[in-house]
Amino acid sequence: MKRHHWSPMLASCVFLVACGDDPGAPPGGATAAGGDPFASAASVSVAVPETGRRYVRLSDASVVTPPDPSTSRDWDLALQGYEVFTNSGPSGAGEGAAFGPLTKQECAGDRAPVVPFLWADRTGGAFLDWYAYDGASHLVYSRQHVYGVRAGDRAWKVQVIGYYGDQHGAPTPALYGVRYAELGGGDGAARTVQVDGTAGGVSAAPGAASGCLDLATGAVAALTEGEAQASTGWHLCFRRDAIIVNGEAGGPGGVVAADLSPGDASTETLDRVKALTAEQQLARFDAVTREDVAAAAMRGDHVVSTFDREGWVDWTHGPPAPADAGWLVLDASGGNKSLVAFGAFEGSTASSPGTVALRIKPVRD
Amino acid sequence: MKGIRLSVAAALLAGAASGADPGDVVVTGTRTPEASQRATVKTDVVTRAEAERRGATTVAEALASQPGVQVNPGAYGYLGGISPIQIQGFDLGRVLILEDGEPVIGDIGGAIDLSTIPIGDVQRIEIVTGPTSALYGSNAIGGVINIITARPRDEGWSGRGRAEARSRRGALLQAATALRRDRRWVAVDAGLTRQDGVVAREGLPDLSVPDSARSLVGVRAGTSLTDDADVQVRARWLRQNQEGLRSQEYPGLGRYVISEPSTTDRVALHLQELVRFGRGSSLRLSLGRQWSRRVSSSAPEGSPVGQEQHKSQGLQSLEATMTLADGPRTWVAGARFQARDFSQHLVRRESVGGELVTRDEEQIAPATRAIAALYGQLQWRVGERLTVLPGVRGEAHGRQGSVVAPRLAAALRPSERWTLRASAGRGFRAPSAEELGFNFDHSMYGYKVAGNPDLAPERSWGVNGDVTWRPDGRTTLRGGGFMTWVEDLIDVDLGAGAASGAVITYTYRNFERVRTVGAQLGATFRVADGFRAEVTYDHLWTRDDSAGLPLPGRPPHTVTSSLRWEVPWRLELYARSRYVSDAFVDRATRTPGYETIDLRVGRAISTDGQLYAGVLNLLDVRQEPGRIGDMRPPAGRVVYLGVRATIHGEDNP
Repeated sequence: MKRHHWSPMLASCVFLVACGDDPGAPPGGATAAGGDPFASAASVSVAVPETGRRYVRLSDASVVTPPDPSTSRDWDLALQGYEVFTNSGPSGAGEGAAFGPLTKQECAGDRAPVVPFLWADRTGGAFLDWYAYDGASHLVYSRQHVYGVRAGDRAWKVQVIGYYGDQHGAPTPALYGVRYAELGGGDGAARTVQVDGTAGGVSAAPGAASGCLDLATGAVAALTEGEAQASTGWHLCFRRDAIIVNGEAGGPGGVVAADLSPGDASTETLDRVKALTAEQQLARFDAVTREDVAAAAMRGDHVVSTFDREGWVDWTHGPPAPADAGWLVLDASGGNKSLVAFGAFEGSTASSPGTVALRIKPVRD
Repeated sequence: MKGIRLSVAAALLAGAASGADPGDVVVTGTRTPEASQRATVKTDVVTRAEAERRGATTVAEALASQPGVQVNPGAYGYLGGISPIQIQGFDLGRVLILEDGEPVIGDIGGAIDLSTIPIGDVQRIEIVTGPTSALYGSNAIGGVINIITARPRDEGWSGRGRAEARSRRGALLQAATALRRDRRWVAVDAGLTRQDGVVAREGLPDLSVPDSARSLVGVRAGTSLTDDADVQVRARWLRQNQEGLRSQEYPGLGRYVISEPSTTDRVALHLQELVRFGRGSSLRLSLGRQWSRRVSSSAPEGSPVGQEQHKSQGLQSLEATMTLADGPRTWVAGARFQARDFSQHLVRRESVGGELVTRDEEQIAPATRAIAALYGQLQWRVGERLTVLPGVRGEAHGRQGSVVAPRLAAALRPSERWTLRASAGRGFRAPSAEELGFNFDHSMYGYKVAGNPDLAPERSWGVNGDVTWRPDGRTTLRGGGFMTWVEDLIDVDLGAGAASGAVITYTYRNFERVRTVGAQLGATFRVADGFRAEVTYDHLWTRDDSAGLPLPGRPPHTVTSSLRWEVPWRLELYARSRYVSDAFVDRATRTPGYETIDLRVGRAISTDGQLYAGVLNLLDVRQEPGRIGDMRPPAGRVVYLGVRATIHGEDNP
């Protein structure tokens, strides 16, 4: 009799214990096990020029020719050579953005994959990834890379050795410690300078004056964004966590720069970066020569998007080919998302992928 | 019969039990007094005596091992030990916290910190699980906690005191005195607690729980205006001071010790009038006002650089509730108007170019949000065995729109041994001030969080059912289950941050869909008059349908058991254990499971006095510093020794 009473409860317990809280299938319900997540996608072929841009509208997967691309919201992606831009930031007047590359599995289903953020296009260059960010402590750690900087026939090597300084007994961010030396000229001696990149403090208005360094003289001038954009009297400007190069979109100085010790993502973990010290990395700095700078591909700051040249193109197997990946793209209206992948290149050259087949799959949140 | 009516009316007035045996009458589930064992809506009760047996000094501690809920100390912030409650898988602003029926304000990120509410003047805590918005409006998605005070039980002077010493230089002093003459009475409550913080890591100054000191001063009074009209006033001031410490190693600079003190004040005024019309019908008028101020600072020790956050909240309310008793039918109809005001600003002292600069940033612009609500409920006793309880509430929330929340509940007692209850209803939560207007600028670290004034209320549907079987006078077996669906859940959408330059802006959106399903099985045995044993198993399954993952920090399995044994020499032994399974945090992380054991022994030293000693968390389970999502107790083992005494009034020795 007693057993009869308890059996349903025990049965329930067994049933309930079996119901764990293990993560289930990815959103959208579909898996990409062996399937093509872009099988149902629309496709459009774009003949990409080496110079000048071709514009693509995602909603109907078509190539469009807006009368004024800088003000138009009628395009979502632009292709030029091996560059891909979204209609956002310095590239356009829209509210576009993108994130990627994503694995094909993450592109399965008809729901937008969960991504940490969507990047609008922005300007940047050699110093884009100069630090590693610790989200737990909100601290910035220099990767201690060495950068080559060239202006005319003069060249320098530069290393960011610190981001914090002590003022009034408190750690203050954006007080940069910079180590630099001229290569093939001057006395070649390594110098260190502190540059105040606080730009008026955490809550100051955008564009406030911040420290700009003239590598030729070692002088630091506090310039607003506008003043810096009009000045050739500096090589590197330090504005909060951004380091700007005075060339192309960064300023009128014709300065170019390159990261001479690009990190290896598999080894340059946050913990490893946190363990680096300025003293320890002096040898890395000393090892860079003028020949290294001469051999580097250098640019001023320019428009960059999530479609990194090394990310969406596979350069490792003979002729350039599209990477086996997808991107989540927000259209120019800022309201619709699509997953985008690139098909084969036809007629690719060193400076253009030729005709690219875009595969476009609208997704919902 | 008249006596019963008066008793019920008094309970209604106080929003609390009458002078009858505490715990016999509950009010939260239906807004009408009912015997707890025959309540139409399942209502769990933790009396003051039970809270003291559990070694509690605060509401958080009283509920920490309550079946069906999880109290997560420190789960929402590395400092402050914020202790919000989780019911049916919902927490933060999705569980409504009431004091004598009035919403408690002063949340931190949506969490009402139950560890800031002492049990000094609390007579009992009622817990109603499941959507209860049909009665109480916003925030009652997971359930409702009602912290109830009561008028003095004894005629003449009476008093109560409790003194306790605890680990980590802890001290508790509580005193209460009351005078009652017929239907006029006044009660004064005061309490002080303090305790050292918990060191997070040996060798470092960091505290995982800050030093804390809390005080309570309360005055309550009641009188009769006429034979059929009573009035009652309650005033309460709570203050909490905390002194947190953390340290941080800055690259290239070394370690800085950062002091993080905070002070929270909350003042509540509550005026109620009850007019009786006879035959159990009445009108209750209620006027409430609350203020909450919190100032929290963060600064390196010895430095003028730092920041100070000032957060203010206020609530004004006016409510009228008419109860009409018509034989087997009891109608409840009410209207409530309330205005909540908020503001938050940050005073930042920073070094700019070597000079000290002070800036005052508005984080939430001062705003007042008004709500108008109408509600109605019918409690219909269809014969002796069946009670049906339909109800509905409509609320207008200005720009956020209107919400209608119905509920249908029923209780069937086919015999004295069986009780079957079921309910289905809608819950909702209006967007908070932070969600609507927050401006958190962390651009220096690459991100901002922005409020969204276009948010709509979250809406849920929930069904609950439970069965109680009492095969004899000594055994009670219970089983129940629930299922809740929430749509338009509001959260910061970390999947849709907008990056501009190097700064990503995240905002709140109505974008998530969540389901929670659970079951509870429990048994209570009174083996002998002085021996009581209880065991309860809770199962919880959750799913964030937007991400296809469980909700983080929701343990699927919890087992709670307790033993209470009154042995010779006027000794009372009490043991309580709780097993909490491991739980999902994210795809790569699970919070570890754990078990706590609490023991207490008390010896009666007078009719209603006791000398006692106990240990909480005997196994010294504690959080691992820095481990994300760790839900284990942050404080470790606590030993206490104390005495409590009650002096009864002249007519109630």
